Amino acid sequence: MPSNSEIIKKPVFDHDSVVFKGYKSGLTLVIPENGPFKKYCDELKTNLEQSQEFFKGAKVFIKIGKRILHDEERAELELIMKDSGLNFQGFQETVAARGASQEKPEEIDPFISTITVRKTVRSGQRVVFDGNLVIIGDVNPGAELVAAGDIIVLGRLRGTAHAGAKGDITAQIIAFQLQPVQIRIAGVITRAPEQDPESDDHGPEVARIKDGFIIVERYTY
Amino acid sequence: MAGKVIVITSGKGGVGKTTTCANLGTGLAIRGKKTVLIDADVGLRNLDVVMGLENRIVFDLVNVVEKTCKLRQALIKDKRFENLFLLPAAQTKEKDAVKPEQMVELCAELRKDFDYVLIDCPAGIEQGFKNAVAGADQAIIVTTPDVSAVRDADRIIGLLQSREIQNPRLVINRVRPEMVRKGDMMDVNDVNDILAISLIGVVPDDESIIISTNKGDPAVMDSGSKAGEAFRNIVARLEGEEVPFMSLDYDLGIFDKIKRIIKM
Repeated sequence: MPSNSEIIKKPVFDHDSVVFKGYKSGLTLVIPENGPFKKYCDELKTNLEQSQEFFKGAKVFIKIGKRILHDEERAELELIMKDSGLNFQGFQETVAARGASQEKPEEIDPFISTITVRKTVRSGQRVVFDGNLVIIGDVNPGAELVAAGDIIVLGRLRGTAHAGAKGDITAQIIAFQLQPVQIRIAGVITRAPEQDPESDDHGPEVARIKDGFIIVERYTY
Repeated sequence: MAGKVIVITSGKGGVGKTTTCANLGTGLAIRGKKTVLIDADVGLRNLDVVMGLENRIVFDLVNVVEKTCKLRQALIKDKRFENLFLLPAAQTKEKDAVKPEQMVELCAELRKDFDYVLIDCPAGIEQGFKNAVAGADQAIIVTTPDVSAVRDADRIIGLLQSREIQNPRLVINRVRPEMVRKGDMMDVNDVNDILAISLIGVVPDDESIIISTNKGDPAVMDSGSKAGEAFRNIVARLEGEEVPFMSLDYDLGIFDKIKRIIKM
């Protein structure tokens, strides 16, 4: 766990270590799509050394997703499997990855879940959630919110917020007081105007994408 | 007897942690509380200097945790107060010479014999901070009324929460009423607005602090010092007394007063 950021709910976007998953057909070793290949290899070796007896003889697929591996890297993985007495079955990969730019955006499930955080999110804290995020409390400068869906702050939003982090351009950011350092919705970024606003309290406001730009307006209900 | 272990921390450097620690410790001792100050800033020790006890150091915190000396041997008795002690940091070692578990053990040992254990935390959020907060059950956050110090204090409060130290209390140090009045400095409300934790003291910026720090005589002993008075109030609040916050509008000239009324 990184010491400099407190992750309140488990982040769904990135697993940063190799994971074994068990299926009927055998084991699947999941290597994260991003991050240094070398690191995961070393990690895998250590894991296997510690649990050699446990996995011995097991059928193993290696899931690499969109990661692009060179032949040497593939050979290295196969060698690790062989050395540990595992019965290597093959790679599972997202074929689109080989043709680079064919990447299609991830489908957005309209029935995404929502979590509620009942506390002030302070500088250096980061809340990441694969769904909608509701904060009951303030979000202070230096704090960061990331959600796949909408972000709603029942308090002041003075940190950074990223809604629709997986590409949902309809995501919104709503706060009782919207005074963020920076707002991101899907791939669009905007920052607060440099000069001081004439008044601090505008009442509830909503930020959303309109014509490719983030606009902020009074929240009407 | 189970004493309180309070860490004095800030995140940002130079906001007055050590000064606060020395003054609160001395203030508690004046009230007859048996108090020990631990300087957790291994490698950059200062508390001994501010307390005027530098020349008495033989053993230090690292010697104690490494068990090369007895705890009793490393505690330096204050030159003014019978019931005030200092456990100095090592100057020639680094932060990783001490581990959090060792601090927990040390604090548990000290709280048996003392009413208060005050830990002077180093700046930053790395090893030194982790050591300093490990054994503490309460925290006092020191900040100055400027944006960066408040930001760092906010970070610290978050980190303390994740370490189960709830309800830290805030000291706002070096407030300059003159600047606050002109709107050039954040006032107590502005700071409170962001940090939203209970306030235990507001200390005015005071030249006498610099003099007392250099002399090694904490300002809390000087009855003429405004900052000293603020620290005495904090000590009283630590002891559970209700003390009103002192007015910082002490230098208002008649002209300013009129201007103020017109403004209102």
